[in-house]
Amino acid sequence: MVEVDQLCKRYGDTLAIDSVTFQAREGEILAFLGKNAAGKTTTMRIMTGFMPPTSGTVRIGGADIRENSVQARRQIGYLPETAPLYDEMTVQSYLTFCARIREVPNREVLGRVERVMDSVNIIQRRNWIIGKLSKGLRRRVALAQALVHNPRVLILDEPTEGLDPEQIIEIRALIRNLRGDHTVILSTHILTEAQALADRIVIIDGGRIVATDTTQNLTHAVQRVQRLRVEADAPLAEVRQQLKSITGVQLVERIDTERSRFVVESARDMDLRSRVAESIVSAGWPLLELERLEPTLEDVFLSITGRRAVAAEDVV
Amino acid sequence: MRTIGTIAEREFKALVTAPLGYIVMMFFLFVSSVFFVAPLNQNVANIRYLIGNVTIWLVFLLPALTMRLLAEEKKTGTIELLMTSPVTETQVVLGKYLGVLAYYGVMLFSTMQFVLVLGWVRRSGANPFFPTYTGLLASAVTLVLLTLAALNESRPLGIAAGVAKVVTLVCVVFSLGQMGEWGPAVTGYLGLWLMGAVFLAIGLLASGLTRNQIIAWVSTAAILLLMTALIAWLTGNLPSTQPVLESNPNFGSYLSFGGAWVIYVLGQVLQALSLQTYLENFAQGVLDIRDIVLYLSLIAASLFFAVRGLATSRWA
Ligand SMILES: Nc1ncnc2c1ncn2[C@@H]1O[C@H](COP(=O)(O)OP(=O)(O)OP(=O)(O)O)[C@@H](O)[C@H]1O
Ligand SMILES: [Mg+2]
Repeated sequence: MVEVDQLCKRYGDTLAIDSVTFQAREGEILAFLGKNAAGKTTTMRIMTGFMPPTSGTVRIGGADIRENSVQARRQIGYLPETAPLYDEMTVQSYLTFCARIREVPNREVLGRVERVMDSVNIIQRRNWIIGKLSKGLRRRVALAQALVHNPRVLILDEPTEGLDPEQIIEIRALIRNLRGDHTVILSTHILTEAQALADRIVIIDGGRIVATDTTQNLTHAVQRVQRLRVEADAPLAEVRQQLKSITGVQLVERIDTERSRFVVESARDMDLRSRVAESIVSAGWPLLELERLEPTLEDVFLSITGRRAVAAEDVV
Repeated sequence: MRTIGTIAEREFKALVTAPLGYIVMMFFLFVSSVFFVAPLNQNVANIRYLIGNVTIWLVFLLPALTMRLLAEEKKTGTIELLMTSPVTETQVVLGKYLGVLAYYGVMLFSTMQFVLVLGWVRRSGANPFFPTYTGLLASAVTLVLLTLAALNESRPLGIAAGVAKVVTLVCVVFSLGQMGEWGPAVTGYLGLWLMGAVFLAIGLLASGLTRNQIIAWVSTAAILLLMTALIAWLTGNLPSTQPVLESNPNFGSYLSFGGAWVIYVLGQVLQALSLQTYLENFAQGVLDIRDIVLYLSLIAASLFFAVRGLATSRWA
């Protein structure tokens, strides 16, 4: 459905993306996972025909984005990184405008706009001026804009960025519902988001694809260890000693300079939570925190490449 | 075609509802009232005087209407919406141009009230109720309905505004009849509208070359100033008759003859470039096909390069 082949983009001297190649199959959700400055937005801008690649090709439903640009763009709904909103328009008139320039037939425009406002839950604000909406609501209007013409391919650049937790759940459910009828490519820097939504994950780092696999396989590869975060109200050295003595614990790492907070690592399929809790409580200390840590993008890079990610910034 | 209409309509509405549009329109009406009223004391009220004097104001006002057309879209990122929709660069440019041209039309025609008043003033004993009062009322109703239609997104109100506009125009035609010399008024308005159309096309081109609205405004105003006032002043000070060779030429007189020719040709070229010169022809009721051709080719050239500019940003 979407074929990206050997895409390169050079900004002056810097090579933003290098030989990016992947395919999205009809009806699947593909996550494009990478840290800040990995090249996600650059790739998406090229895929949607907004920007030319330095070299390489993109085909949407068989239509080349450069040779047959309008035909390719006809099939796309795109949520850019910055919401492309006209602040002086109302929500409804903006979405009507978007439907019209996407060639929705006149008699269907009203119905489509109505439906999409309903699905992103913005219908109560239909007559609001967009400039007066909060950031999260703006994001939803921008998402509605990508969906309004019911495109076959959806390209979403960090769709849940800037939303509150409740809205994130809502939008994720909405995206999950698109599976089957639409081919969805979404970018994110959050591993759990990719795991929660995608059938397959493409990992990009420093402008290169470092892994492409099903979510299941990747998750399995990443879960080399099980990690817990523990905090107890007791002296540092004693707590460390106590944790180390628990059977199954492979590593204890201090993560706070003042308080007794540790990360405890064990084998992948071993849940140590009850043992840790028991051990701390039996020593007579109050247990302040005990949480299982989800693997992060950092772990993915470690497990795939055996090295830390190229870009220096930290990932949530 | 529908896409061009959709973009034009959005642009027109943005001008009708935004403060900037109002300010430009108010200022234009104020300035033209001043030029209309000023000669009234001397009983020499005519449209020619008005037309000759508002040009210089259009040089500053019209670039304010065009400065945001593309520059703002680039700045806020909404350009990503247009460029990734199945819309060609030509459609974007033509849509925006027609939208702002229509707004300028409304602005210019709202000075037609002066014609209504003039018709009544010129013919003593004429019935003031028709066409003068009726026309003025219809004209005011047009503006009010237009604003309401834009604010409420109401098509019926928009159609009502159109009807009121037609009534106004009918009254204006009768007023022109009362005025006696209707030729200069009609060609003068046509010329002013065409010249404004050139200004707007140049402004749109400038707006596409930058993402800074102020730069777009300043550069457009500077170019227009050069094309009108400065050239008019220069040509006024250059000889307008062909130089003649002395009867008994020596080397020196050949030299000065050559120099005089260069200056003469320069003057003619500048005159050909000067929009003001053509406008004076229009105001005198002379409708020369060559003038119209010049205006139209300036518009076509500006729009062509504006389209090229957009296409380059996509496919450079
Ligand atoms: N217009 C530009 N000019 C020069 N360099 C650019 C431009 N746009 C992006 N880059 C560079 O290209 C690289 C990739 O940027 P890109 O925006 O694609 O990253 P991203 O994966 O979307 O990051 P984020 O998660 O922060 O959105 C970065 O190093 C960035 O600095
Ligand atoms: Mg990005």
